[in-house]
Amino acid sequence: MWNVHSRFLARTVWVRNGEVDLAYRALNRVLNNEEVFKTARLWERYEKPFRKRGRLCYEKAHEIYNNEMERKIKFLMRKNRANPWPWN
Amino acid sequence: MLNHLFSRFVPLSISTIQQSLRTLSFTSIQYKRSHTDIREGTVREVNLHPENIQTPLSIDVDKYYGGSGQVRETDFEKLIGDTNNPEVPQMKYEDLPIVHMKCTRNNTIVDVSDCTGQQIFRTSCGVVGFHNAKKGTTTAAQAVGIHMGNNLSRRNMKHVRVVVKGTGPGRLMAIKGLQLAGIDIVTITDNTSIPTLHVGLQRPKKMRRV
Repeated sequence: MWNVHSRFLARTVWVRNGEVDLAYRALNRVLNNEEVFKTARLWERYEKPFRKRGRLCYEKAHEIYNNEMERKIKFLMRKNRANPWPWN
Repeated sequence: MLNHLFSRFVPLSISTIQQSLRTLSFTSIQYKRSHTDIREGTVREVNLHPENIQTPLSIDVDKYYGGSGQVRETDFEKLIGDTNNPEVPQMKYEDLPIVHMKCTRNNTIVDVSDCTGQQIFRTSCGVVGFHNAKKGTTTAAQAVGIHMGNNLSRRNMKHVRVVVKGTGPGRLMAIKGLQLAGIDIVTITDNTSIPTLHVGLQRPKKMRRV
């Protein structure tokens, strides 16, 4: 019995008050977070090893750049504070 | 000679065998690589055998909804139906019919089955009257949804659960078409096939170069 219905345990979302849009958007959000569509698109066509290597290098470099940029922005935002000498 | 070596201590990995053969010492110091995997941080670091664990959803859907969002095992016995209408009895969630939607890049196929999985009815964009490239559009998907909805309401199946498969333009619009025809959609599940690496995996076609 559970074999038939096990696919309704994962990746399912209730629809409340007939709001199908909201439910669909919630589901899509979860799936994007888990990178389901990305993997499905990758496996549509075979990705040769040389392309795969290039893609992984690019992704790692992209991640490093994004993290460092976030750090920099966080640091610079500390300039946004109250003026310690308002009478000047 | 080698038997004698191995009877003394059992090496845990290939590196320990190499070391033991190189040094030929019987001190039986076992080197365990406990800190990191040798491939970490390199280009060749690829998880060849990802685990097929059914984890809970990464985003708390309940918080997103402000109530119960995700389906749990206890919900299978939930009764669904019109509380006002006393003639039609309320059905359990696990006895509801299932609408499968296969949404590919060029077409959307919709198919209804009962709770056990036996097929009842089936439509696609071609049945509704679209041809060739126009089948892979959102308007065609909506038309399919409406067609299916009309057929369902004719057979008195007002409450339905939906299973969506694949990425394509008809993913949302087919569900909307169903709703327009007056069907009550209870849950939406996603069943896109994610191929996992294993021994008998069929290699997909080569890339299209246009």
